[in-house]
Amino acid sequence: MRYARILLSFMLLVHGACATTAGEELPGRARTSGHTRLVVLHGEEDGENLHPYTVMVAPYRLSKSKRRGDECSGVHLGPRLVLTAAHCVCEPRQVGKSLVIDRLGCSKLAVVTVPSERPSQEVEGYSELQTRIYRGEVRPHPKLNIPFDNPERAVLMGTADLAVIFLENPVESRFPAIQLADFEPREGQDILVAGYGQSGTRSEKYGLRTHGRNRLTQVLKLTERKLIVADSGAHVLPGDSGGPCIVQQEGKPPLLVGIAMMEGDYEGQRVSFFTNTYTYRDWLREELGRTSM
Amino acid sequence: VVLYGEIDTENRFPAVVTVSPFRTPGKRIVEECSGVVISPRLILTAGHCLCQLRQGAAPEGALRCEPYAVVTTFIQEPSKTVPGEVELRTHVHKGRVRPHPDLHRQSHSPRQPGLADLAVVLLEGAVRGGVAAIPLADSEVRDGETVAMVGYGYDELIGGRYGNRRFSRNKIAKDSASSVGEILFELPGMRIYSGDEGGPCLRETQEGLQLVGILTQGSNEGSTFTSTYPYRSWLSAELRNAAAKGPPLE
Repeated sequence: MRYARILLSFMLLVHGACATTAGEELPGRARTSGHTRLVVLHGEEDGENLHPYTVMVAPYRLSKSKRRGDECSGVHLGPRLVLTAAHCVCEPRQVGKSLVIDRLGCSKLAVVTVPSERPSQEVEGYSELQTRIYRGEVRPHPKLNIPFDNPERAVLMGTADLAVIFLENPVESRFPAIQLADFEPREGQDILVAGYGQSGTRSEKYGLRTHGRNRLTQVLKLTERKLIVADSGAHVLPGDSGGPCIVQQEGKPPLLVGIAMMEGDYEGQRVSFFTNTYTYRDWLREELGRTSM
Repeated sequence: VVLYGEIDTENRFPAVVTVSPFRTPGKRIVEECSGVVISPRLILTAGHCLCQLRQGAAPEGALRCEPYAVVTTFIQEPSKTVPGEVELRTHVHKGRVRPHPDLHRQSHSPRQPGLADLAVVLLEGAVRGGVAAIPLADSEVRDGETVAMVGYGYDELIGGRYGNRRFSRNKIAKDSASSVGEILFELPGMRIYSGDEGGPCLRETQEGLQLVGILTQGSNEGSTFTSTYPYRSWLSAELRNAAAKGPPLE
């Protein structure tokens, strides 16, 4: 959560420098005046509401002053179920000499903000936003275990960075939940990422969804099979954690293949890491089944 | 002392809006300002938010204003199901930009706000979301008076969340260094953020809020606002013009 975000931000700083120099070569730069290059790397604003199942997630706290810096993304997976990254709702704790994120550090409750956008009747091309707030029980994956001493180890050694939030009330939305893919995406497959991440520059605020295209470059066998995106399209940033990695085939509904874990350097490349939801499909189906009981 | 202000979670200042140039197709503009509803169809903001000096042009008549602006209201309501949480609803509006006539007559930059750094946006329809307009103050702001400043500004340090409106209260001082000291006032030690410019300075009375000024300049050292009282005849004319447009379309 907050500690996680500090680490992620540290990695972002490293990448901020890369982004500035690499920015010139990126396609689709300077889409709108005022956007920085980092934003383009991150994707663009989801002004057409293409990913309405992407929601905001934060641990539930009674004290609002503590809310800043621990906000993430998530996906609406079922009527009362939201899926996110476990590190968004679970705090690292000291185990022996090292820091670990596991089930024992998880918040009991999380808050989910579901945004609903409608095109404005009055101003052409603009949309209006209404948010709804839900609360639910945090249920981390039983195998959640992320060594958190450094970001590299977190990615390489971590497993099951997933948690579902079992909502007290069903989501009232005009938009359907996202479906789980019943396959593992192949290397080279086009993917979409979406989330509420912020680059930390003054041009972005949490609460505006961005999205972008990229390519799945590798399915890497570490302690688990992780999805690795290392191409020149949109990457994840702090705040995108828990957001979806999507495969969308023409004329078909979008399918969820991954949940954003973090971004960083891997073998000298800028990469985004996603937890492979196909690996954890049995647990996800079980959790979905619980919500319909 | 730098004041960060509080987030307006209790929806005390719904008449404070964001203002940005209208663009097709409607991408949200990153460089947006704040503004204030002064009648159901009239929004007041800082002139430089919607009018900018053309590069390389002569100072005389070199200011170019956006023809249209987009005004967004943000209504925050406590969640019915989750205690302590706030739900957000936005409404967008479009209107014509009408700068103060004297805004054009000077060299102007955000670093050196000059005379009449004000503009109104005349909406096509009434402002929605049940927002009540804030009346103009019927007297000049006094040296040492405490005013509430409200805006949508933020930076990396305080963090930005879409729709977060901040307010803080501050004692004001006459700007002795300014050549137009009767119009510009300082908010010593108060920091305003990118996005706060155009937002209102409000006198809080038992009868309700009154508008005393518009934030026109911010820096790390302090902030400056333009008193609206000296411009009351222009504002009254704009208010009459807005009212003469007939009943606003709801």
